[in-house]
Amino acid sequence: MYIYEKKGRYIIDFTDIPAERAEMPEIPVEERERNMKEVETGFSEEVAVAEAKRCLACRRCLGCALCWAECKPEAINFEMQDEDFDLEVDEVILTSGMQRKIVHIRGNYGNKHMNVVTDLQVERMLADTGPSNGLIFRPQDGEIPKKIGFAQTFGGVDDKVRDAALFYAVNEAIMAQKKIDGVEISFVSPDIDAFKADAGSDLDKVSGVSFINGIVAEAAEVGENKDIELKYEADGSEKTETFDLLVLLTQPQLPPIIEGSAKKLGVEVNYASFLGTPGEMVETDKSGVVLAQNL
Amino acid sequence: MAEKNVLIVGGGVAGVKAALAQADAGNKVFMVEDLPSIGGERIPQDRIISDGDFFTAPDLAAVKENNAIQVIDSAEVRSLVGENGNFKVKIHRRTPRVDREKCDDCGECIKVCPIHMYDDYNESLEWRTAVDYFNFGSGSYNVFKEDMPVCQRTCPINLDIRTYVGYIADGKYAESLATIRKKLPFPLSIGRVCPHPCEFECNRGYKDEPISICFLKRYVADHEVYNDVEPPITLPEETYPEKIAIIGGGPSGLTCAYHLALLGYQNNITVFEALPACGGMFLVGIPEYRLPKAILAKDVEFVEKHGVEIKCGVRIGKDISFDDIRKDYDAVLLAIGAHLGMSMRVKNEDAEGVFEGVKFLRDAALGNEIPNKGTCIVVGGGNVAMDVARTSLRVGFDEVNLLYRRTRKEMPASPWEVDAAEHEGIKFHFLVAPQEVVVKGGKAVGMQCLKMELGEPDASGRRRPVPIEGSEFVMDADTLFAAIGQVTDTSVVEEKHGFNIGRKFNFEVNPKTFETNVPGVFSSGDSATGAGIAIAACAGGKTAAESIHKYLRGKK
Repeated sequence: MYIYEKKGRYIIDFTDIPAERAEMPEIPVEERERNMKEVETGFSEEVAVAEAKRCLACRRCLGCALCWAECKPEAINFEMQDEDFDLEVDEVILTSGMQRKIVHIRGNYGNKHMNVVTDLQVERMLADTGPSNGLIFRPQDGEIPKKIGFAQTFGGVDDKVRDAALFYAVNEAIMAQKKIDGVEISFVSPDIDAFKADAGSDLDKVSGVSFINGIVAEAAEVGENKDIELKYEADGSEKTETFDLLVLLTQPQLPPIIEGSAKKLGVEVNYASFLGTPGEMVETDKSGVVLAQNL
Repeated sequence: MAEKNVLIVGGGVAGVKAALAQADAGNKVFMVEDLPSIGGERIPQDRIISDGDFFTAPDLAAVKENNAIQVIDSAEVRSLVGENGNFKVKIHRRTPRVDREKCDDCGECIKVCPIHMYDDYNESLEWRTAVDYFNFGSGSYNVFKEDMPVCQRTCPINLDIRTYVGYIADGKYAESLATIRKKLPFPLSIGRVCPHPCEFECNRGYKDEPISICFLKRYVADHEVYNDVEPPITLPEETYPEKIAIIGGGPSGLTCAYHLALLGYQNNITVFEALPACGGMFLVGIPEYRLPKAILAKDVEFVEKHGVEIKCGVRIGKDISFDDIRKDYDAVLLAIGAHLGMSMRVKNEDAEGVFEGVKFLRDAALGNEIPNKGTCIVVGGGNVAMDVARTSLRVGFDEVNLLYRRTRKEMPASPWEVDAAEHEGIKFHFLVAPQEVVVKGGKAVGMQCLKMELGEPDASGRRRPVPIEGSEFVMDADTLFAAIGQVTDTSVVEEKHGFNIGRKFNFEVNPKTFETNVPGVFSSGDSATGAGIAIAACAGGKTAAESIHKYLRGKK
């Protein structure tokens, strides 16, 4: 999909440029027996050129200055340089900032399945000022999903961080459930049972979302609609479920600006340091440096 | 009380709230944020939402109107030192190229901009123009003009991928190859073996599938070889007299030699290689079926033709002392790689029939005698383990069993290598840990193993394997290979030389200059960073060349 229409203009998909990437040709397995022949044989010229044409030559400002010509208040200035300046302050407040890590799911290396999105993308979809004015949609065809899966692929993080990630995604599931009539939602996480204990009775009131304590294994694209088949392990057996849209949970983490600042101050922090009583200021070992707790 | 100056790092919801509270208390607030605008995630992370409380909305308008709050976006904190009441901060701010004082948020610029780029604010769900407000309602306009596309930024040596792929699309192969060689002298080799981190970041991956960047590099490099084109050699006219010794003719050492030649040290660079041929891990780590020796030789020859003298079969510390090298050369690079296999730490590991995986690969590559009869066991889950397993099957073993103590999902090897090994008939045994080498008559005849199950995640985020009690079993084998990691053999230098050796048995270096604690001696590649990917070793070699140049010119 990608909403091609934006501000009255269109991006064209050229039909002579393939969507799939070129596969590297290999000699058959039988020909590899008992010898050291090179396995991969290389692209032909035709394939190489076609593959190179797929490159989007990632766009950025070319300096055409159309905006500069259009700007009535003359605010656009291509001569503007990066600035370095010094500040003197009495107190430093560190916050958690905003950065999230994606742990890829097996079967979707390089994000090749269009109907696998992240919870961050869903947040953008849900926002009224976002790309779809608050609508959740399938990137493949722009359809409204009727069956949504949420899957947690990361592990090994602090309990508080894990809970924050789960609250975030569960809240999205609740919003999706309220927005789309008759939507079915499954939520697979290896930590659901632990989370239930921490989230308390509010979670029991959530209806229309089935929570599954399971370990996510693999995601594959199936059928013409490119639905997503999710394999996971729960109750000691392997299960398979097919979704219109699969949402991967992301792991919140500190961006370099926060980690770097804390390090320079000699204050030890991690993401969990910002997950206490919402809105509270927490003192650190260093006088004059406080941590603003997440809201 | 006099007003205080307060620095807030991070412009998320909590930062905005803290800023407003501080301003209300009469303080002056500086809020720094690395993104081009403030705002952040708005879905609550501390409670289950109920009706009417879907989003936490930071009051961005109040921040904008409040004169006591100065927002510094697109910023980096370069330095932050001091005590309570007196902190000194150095800030670097990337220019937005829009004067926000003058901008009246009319949006006319967006309407005329012809560029559509991926909208990273909206997580690439749509496009935006190259001049944009980034975050709706923030009024923070920017002209986006990144120095490098994401692929180039991800590449350890920052290859100009967009340019060389573009040349291929235009059929200009020589220009494409020349673009690669501005930084990398190994297009034939890297084009075959690189695990290509760039492709995982490729923006086309958001749309359908990433560009096959690595294999396109191989294509242009192969094109030159298959068409018998003589690679063009251009050396600078201005030259320098200092002599430089490079110890180790692998990816890092040769890349350093190449860049030193381009900087003007041609005919004054000597590479000392302990093995009979150059290439380092390209030669003795990567098997022939992934990178043929004849192909690698072309890349090495290309470096040699830049006025680089290569002396093979010379081991420092044995054939020539390190002191002699120091005496005869103005600067030294230690790029000796990581060729020592790590121990499995199991009983009877030193029995006959147990081999280091890296040594086996080295012997196979050099045509030395290697075990090749019966069945073998490979212990490990990385790319070296895959190379050992796939090579074992080729050299004559009837059956190759690979043991890994976690599951396939946790394997550090590239997934395509694992798939290829499986296609070729390697038998994988997951959740199995080696416990003891079974010995009969002084010779290994198998491995006693323990079955594992996955428990709680550990610090690396991977679930920790836990042994299942009483699940011991013996797997028979004629030969056992340990492929669980490599370290550097630092015995080329002695204790009296005073090198700081790091935790991974590497030479400790300044990460920016690759200089060791001994003046005039540099180290790059695996021997400085611990075992890593080839392109990162090449990148280190390039940086080391620039540092050596600076060091030698600075001395004057």
